[in-house]
Amino acid sequence: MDSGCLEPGESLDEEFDVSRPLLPEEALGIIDQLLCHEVSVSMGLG
Amino acid sequence: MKMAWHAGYPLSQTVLTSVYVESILMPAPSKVEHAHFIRDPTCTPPSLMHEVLRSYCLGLLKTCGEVNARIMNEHFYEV
Repeated sequence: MDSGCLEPGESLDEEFDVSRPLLPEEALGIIDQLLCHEVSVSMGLG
Repeated sequence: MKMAWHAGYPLSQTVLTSVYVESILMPAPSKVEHAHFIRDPTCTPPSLMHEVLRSYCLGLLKTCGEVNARIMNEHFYEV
């Protein structure tokens, strides 16, 4: 959508390194967020 | 009358916004064995935390797929 506003060297792709080490609490936090997302989808399904 | 399917949020705005979920889905894996965050076999093996998170993501995606399939197979009527 905003591809016309990219600075030179910038990319539209997400550059987060998914292989970076994860602490147990970080992994649990991500799982918790995904669970919240899943529930918000299910809320609309009756 | 409130439409029930409007009360929820779409997958594209929730589950699919996670970079970890996206890394598993892009490109779409043909087998569970191919569904990894990083698919380069020359990289260091994933850590235990990554394996735990990967397991959860796979279960989550499978659940969403099953729910979606169940809904698509149902007859429903719009009033």
